[in-house]
Amino acid sequence: MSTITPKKPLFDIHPKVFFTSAAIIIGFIVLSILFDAYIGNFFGPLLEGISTHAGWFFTLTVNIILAFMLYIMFSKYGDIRLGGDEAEPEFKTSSWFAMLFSAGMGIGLLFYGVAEPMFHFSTPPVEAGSAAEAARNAMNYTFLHWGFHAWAVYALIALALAFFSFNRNQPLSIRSIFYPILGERIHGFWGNLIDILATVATLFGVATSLGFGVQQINAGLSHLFGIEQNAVIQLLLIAGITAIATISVVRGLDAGIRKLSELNIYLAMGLLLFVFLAGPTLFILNGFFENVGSYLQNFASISTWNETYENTSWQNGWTVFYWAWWVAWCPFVGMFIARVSRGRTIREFLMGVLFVPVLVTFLWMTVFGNSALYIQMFTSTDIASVVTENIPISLFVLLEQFPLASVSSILGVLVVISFFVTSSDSGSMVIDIITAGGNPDPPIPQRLFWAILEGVTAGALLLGGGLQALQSAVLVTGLPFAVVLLVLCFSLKKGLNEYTGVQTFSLKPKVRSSRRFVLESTEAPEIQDWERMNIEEGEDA
Amino acid sequence: MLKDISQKFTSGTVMLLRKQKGKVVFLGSACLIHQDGYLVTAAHLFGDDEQDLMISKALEVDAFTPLYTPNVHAHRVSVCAVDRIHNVAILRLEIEHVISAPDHLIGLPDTLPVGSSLMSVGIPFGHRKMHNIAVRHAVLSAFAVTRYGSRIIIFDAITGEGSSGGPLVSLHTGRCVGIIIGRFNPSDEGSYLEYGTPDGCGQETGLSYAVSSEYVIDLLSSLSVELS
Repeated sequence: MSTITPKKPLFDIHPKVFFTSAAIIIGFIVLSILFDAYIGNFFGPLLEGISTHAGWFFTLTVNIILAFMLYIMFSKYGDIRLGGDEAEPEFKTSSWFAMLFSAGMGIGLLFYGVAEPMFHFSTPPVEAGSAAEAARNAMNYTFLHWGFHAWAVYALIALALAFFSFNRNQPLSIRSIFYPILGERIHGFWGNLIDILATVATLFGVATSLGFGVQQINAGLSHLFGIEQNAVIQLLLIAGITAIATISVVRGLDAGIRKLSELNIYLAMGLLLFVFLAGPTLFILNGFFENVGSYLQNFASISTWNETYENTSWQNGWTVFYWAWWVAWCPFVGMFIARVSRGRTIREFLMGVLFVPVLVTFLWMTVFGNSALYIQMFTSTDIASVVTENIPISLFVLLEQFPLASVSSILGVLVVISFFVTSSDSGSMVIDIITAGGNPDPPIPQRLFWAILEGVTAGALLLGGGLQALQSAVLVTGLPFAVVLLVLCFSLKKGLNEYTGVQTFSLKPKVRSSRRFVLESTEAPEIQDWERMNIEEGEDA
Repeated sequence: MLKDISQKFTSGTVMLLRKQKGKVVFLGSACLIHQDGYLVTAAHLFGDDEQDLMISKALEVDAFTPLYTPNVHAHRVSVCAVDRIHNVAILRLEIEHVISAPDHLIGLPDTLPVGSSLMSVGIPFGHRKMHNIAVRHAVLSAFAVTRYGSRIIIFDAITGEGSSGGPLVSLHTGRCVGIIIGRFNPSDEGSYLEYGTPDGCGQETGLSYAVSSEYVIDLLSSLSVELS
């Protein structure tokens, strides 16, 4: 007996979303290159205006989202299992954490782990009476920017996507989270529009990161090995990263992305452990508990601080920038987190997404930030000025302060590259799923297309200019999307209520199909001997 | 809890009818089980004649309605799959409908302990033109396997004739765990189950029975219908 395995289709696309998104992306790249200065002049001041006038709104939004997520976690909704009562987690918990972390934070940790505490220490957001107070404040604000608020934003959109997709049978696509508000219209024009915007924003977000990132890697390589900083090297780096990411995406979530994410975490943990042991270990241990305590103690005041009485604009370049960045980045990360979180209860999901990555981030920031602070405060080396002048080399400048710098720097470069690859492959996977109409396992040719387009976009923008303008444009989308996130809180609550509340059938014929009949009385159908009769009939046959 | 689960299943419980010369006769109960228009019922209700089957919504559940209704609005259904051994059948609405269905409709009775609470839903007096859905609270009295291998759930409620084909629901899980067949009335030799009032073959026990929902799940799987 032979079995026939159905062939997978070469393409499984949502034509309107796929082709419109591809056309917009290619068109925008051409325009960005041709009119770089004009676009920069438009989005640059717009972003500045938004930061100045809508900073308070971002602060309010991220706090509401965090409070809402904590409420959901401790409420009765926490017991709902994503994917239904019988669903089982697709990935073991350690792999799940590895993927969450690799997609969520990525490369920023490597550069800002050292640089951000140094910046806040050198240029304190609020006046500090002593160096110790300035250092404590520096870590407080670093924790604020990389802590619970960022992950709450990710958690909100990821939870909404996972819930509406796995529990309400909607496609795994951004449009689905608006189901309680738009109803069946999510399958029409409005749904297509939402998915197109999400695709374009995700691709530009990942591509600009890739573009800036390779400039940073190039700067690091130049600092370490004297390799020239030029477009050819950067294009080669983009090609290399894109090639690895493409292989990872084509191999799929389990065989590619999961394995790379785990490798990424091993490499990152190796680097973390090295700095912890080679650096000021006791200072780091003391600092970790003090930093966490200080952050929690000052949580309410720093997370609602708006520079009202200082009348300064320090937050525009830091806090508001981060809030806009996490919000603009969240469709991508949220979608990826949703994809890998089926089978977990909402409480387990939120504990995992809110607390574990934050704890690891705090550990990371303490190991790297406190090491840099120690060198700055208690040795004669002025690491702060070097780092703040050239952020991309900050990690390597720190590693140079410890023994085995050449080995640890190579490990550092590997970690930088692996973080890039894991951001790039998960970004491509998200776009693949959206443009395949929510198919969580899209065909390979599509994966190739988007992974390569991502690299081509980054390369074209790098060569032709337009990276800065495009990043500003992505950040500008953070404002309308922040409004959308607030609406989403309402939408998710409504969906969860309906799910846990009384559910009933509703039945409406698409065409008039019923007829009116006179009902006659009759006897009940006979059941006696039914079972025996049918068994015997079956035996006879 | 009982109220919520009751609303969930009463909204999907319908009358199974057969068209006969421009009129319809009531056969028993059926229950919507999937948003694609699938229903489940007891196979003995239509016997070997799968033609001219229709369904009609029962009267408003939460309102005072007349005891007798001479007319009904009915939709055609066809038989998709039948398990005559275990007495269950899957029907489907012939005309496309926009249906929203509750989540988690079907479960298995395996994990329920004897003594747990159940709810039977059906239209017990449909044969007498009374189309009100009646909900009954019951206790899971026993699990049994019939002489011919059907797994049945015995519960302590006397179901009316018209409730046959309706859902037996666990109040613990809020899911349908069986399809009501009729009153439990073993014969002296225990060889078969009888429906209706005692006629000398057995005795009125005050118990009813339903076949396990596992047979419904098997039928739906054979149709490649995914369950939420």
